[in-house]
Amino acid sequence: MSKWLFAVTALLGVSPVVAQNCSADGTVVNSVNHAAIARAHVTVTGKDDSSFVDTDASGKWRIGNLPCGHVNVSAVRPGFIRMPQILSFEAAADSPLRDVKIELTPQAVLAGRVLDDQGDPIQGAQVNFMTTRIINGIRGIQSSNSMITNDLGEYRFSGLAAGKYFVCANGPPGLVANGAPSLGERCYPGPIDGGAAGAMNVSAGYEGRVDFTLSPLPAFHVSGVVSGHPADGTGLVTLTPRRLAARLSGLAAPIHPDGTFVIRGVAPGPYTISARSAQFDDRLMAVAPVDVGNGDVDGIQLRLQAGVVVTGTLKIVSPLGKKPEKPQYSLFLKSSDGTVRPGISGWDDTRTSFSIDDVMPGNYRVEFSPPAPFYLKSATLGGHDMVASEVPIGPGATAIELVISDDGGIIEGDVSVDDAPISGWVVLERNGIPSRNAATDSKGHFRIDALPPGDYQAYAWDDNTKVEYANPEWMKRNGKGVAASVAPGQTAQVKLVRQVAPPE
Amino acid sequence: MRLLAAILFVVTCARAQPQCAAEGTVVNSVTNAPIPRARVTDSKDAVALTDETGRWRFDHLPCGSLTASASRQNFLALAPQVVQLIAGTPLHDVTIRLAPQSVITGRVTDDHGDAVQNTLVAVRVSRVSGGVRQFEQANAVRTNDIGEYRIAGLPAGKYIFCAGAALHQDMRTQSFQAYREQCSTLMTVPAGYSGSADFQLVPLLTSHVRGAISGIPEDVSPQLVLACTSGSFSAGIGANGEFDIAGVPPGACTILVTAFQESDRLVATQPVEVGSSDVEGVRLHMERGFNVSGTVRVASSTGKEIEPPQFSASLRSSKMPIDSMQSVWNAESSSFMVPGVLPGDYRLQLNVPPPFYLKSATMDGHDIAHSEATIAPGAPQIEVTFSNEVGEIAGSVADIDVPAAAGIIVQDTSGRHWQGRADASGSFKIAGIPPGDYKVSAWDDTANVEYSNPAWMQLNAKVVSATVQAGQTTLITLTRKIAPNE
Repeated sequence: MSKWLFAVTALLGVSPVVAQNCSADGTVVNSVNHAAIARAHVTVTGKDDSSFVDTDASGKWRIGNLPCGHVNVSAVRPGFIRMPQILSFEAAADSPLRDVKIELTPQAVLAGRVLDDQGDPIQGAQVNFMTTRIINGIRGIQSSNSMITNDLGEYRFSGLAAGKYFVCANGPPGLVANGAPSLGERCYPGPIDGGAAGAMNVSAGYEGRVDFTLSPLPAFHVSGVVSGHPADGTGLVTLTPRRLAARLSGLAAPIHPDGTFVIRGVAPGPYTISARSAQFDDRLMAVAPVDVGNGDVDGIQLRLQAGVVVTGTLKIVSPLGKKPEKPQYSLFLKSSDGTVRPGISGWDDTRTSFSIDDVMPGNYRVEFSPPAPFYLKSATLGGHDMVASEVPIGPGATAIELVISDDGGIIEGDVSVDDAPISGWVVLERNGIPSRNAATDSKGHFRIDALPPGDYQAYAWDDNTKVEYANPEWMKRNGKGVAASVAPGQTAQVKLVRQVAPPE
Repeated sequence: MRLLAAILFVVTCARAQPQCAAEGTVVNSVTNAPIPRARVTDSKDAVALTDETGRWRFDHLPCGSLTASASRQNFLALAPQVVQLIAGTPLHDVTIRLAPQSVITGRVTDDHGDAVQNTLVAVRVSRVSGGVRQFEQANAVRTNDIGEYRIAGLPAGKYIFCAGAALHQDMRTQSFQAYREQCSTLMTVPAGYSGSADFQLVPLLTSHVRGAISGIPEDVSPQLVLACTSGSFSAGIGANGEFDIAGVPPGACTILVTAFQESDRLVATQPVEVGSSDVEGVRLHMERGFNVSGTVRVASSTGKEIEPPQFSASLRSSKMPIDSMQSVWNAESSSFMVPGVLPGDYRLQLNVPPPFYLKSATMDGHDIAHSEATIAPGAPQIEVTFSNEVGEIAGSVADIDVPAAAGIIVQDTSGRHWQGRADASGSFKIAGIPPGDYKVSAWDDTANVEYSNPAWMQLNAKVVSATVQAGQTTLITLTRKIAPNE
């Protein structure tokens, strides 16, 4: 479209008329065996409208009267997983889009039965499906889906993408409470404690069967006393399995007026026990690990505590004397035991000192994100660095001192493969620790600002879901970084070659 | 593990004075075969598992009444066994029956034979509700990725299974798809039945319903719902009140637009018939409505008054998809006001706290409690009378001259009914009946009684007339009849 037409339409305040005489055709095929897929539903989406068509018996499709210009093309078909990336084209009136090949990946399916040790089907058994996934730069195991078996003990997970998986079966939740024996958890191909390396490989289109036989486990009780519990208050003690697969089946019991509690029907295993007062105006809690072996666990002592109030100061270091305009700060106190205290409870008028209420005593790191161009220069408590390591917080803790600055620099660059620009995903490391990530634009360009001055390694990858950027061993083994040095107020330029992240 | 399996019983609670014992069998109610590994419980925490011959045993039970019931996967519990335990006389051969579940499975495909994933298959069971036998939805399951469904745990009964009635997100097109509902023939399902019903669904062409709403105040955000026989649809409302509801299958619908401005409700509603093409140019205007007021009189010979606020009133129209707002009452509960009423035909809905009953509700002499009256701005007051001047019906029930336990149904001529029970000696008493003339009948199982079906009652009931007077007990003698479950 000419510049003149743009100018006229802008003056008139109307959208330019998009020519409707474009067309596209192509095929939809199975990405594994390349067979044509009939009755796939093809969608071509232009600027304002979408057109649909189903493929014929030979997998072919054609759409006429398309709006010309940028169009996205996608297809769906039951039995195939959704396209991870939609295809994009420029449709021109004099140049029909021909032979657009859409590949759909067949779903994998995993089905099976859950039986008890007598061969009876277990109705209502909980089957958890777990996938290995990169979480914050580390490959971990994450629950992906769960379902309950039917009256034949059957389960079926469909719509699975190729990947590495565990599947675990547990007895029906609540059976223990009814006096029946607890049923032990079983995982395939083995216990998930061994980590992602023990997962099973599921390929595209795989249809497999995993049956489970669950055996009764002895069940025990866990009892103790909660102190610091208001005499007229109510409260609850909860026992949550520390094992990922069983985490949906916690047990709970009330705290009696004398502070005692008994949780019955507990299967052996590692748990986290937590007590919480139900007083709205006085949130008291206690948390402790509990390991149940081959016997009752008595005499647990839990002390309910109100969270402590942590204060802090925020210092702004700006060579130009700037301040964040509309400061929206995001702060988290994170503990390796899983405790997270998000948010700031209150600021003073100048937003230079703050307080955080209800922090459970423990060891914490600070995560703090100031608005760009500011970055967190340091966070200390009693002189200890709270960014790199956990620092104890308890009653009487001194103030957290946060320093933010806008004297950071920028890393800007381009990503290519064989000297051709290409989109990708950029990871920055500083002192061997992951610093920032960003996606490039479609031409491979990226710009990451508000970086603390220092030396960086920059990496470019094809698929961020496969990059263990927080795993130093993995990065050392697979990454080819480019050094970049960031000086205050300066922009460092880098040229990166996009790497293919290796499969697990 | 084997040790566990060999254990015939487990008593989970220690008992204070163990004196009695009971033992028996759990059997399949259809085949009379013993059921191993059934779980037998009493009402006080005792638990036993049956052995391979279906036998169970409780020791150390407190004497007196024992309510024993059993459960087993794929079986349905029947009524528990209630027996008397006597010290020194262990009870033998208590038989507990479990009915095997019935199961229906099948596959749902589209007109091309492709599996229809994630569509609902509904179970409609024949049962008596409100005194009329009808098919009611009892359950619904969704098909899996290969179009299969499985409905387990069904008791014996008469069923119809239907697929495709509800809109669902079609996994093929990723859009909402309507199908013409397909139902099975009437299936008489006995206990333990295992059958199948497959469905082939035909897609319905859907249309747009477009229009505009006027009278929307600047500071409110109305909600729009199109209620159709096939389901409900919603859509956003543009800045100029325009709307475009997509994917509507053919059928009768009603557009309802509601908004709240402070405590006022604004409503616009209009019926829409959707055919095979888009419906354009629907126009609605939001109205604030008017207030309808009423007075309440309490007729009580004992001088008892209703303590406010214990009851509420609203107006319901058979032509409106939404009830009026709830009433506002004065401090004495002697008068009320229903706000935001649109012109139309309404009947008064009242919940009355016992022991009071609604003696009458009229508007300009018209009975507004049992039939609709036209209400327009300037409508006269509704006059409500509550009363606690009630009587009771008492008497005895026999079956072939032998006193018998039974369920009792009391009906008046306006369709109201009361239920009670005669004990094992056949005696019953039903209190709180307003003065008037009634028909009373006794049944083995009131759940099967089509008391609102005159033809059924004429065929099956033995009805006794009774006249109730305030403060009086009317004595009658009833004959228990068997209510056919058909």
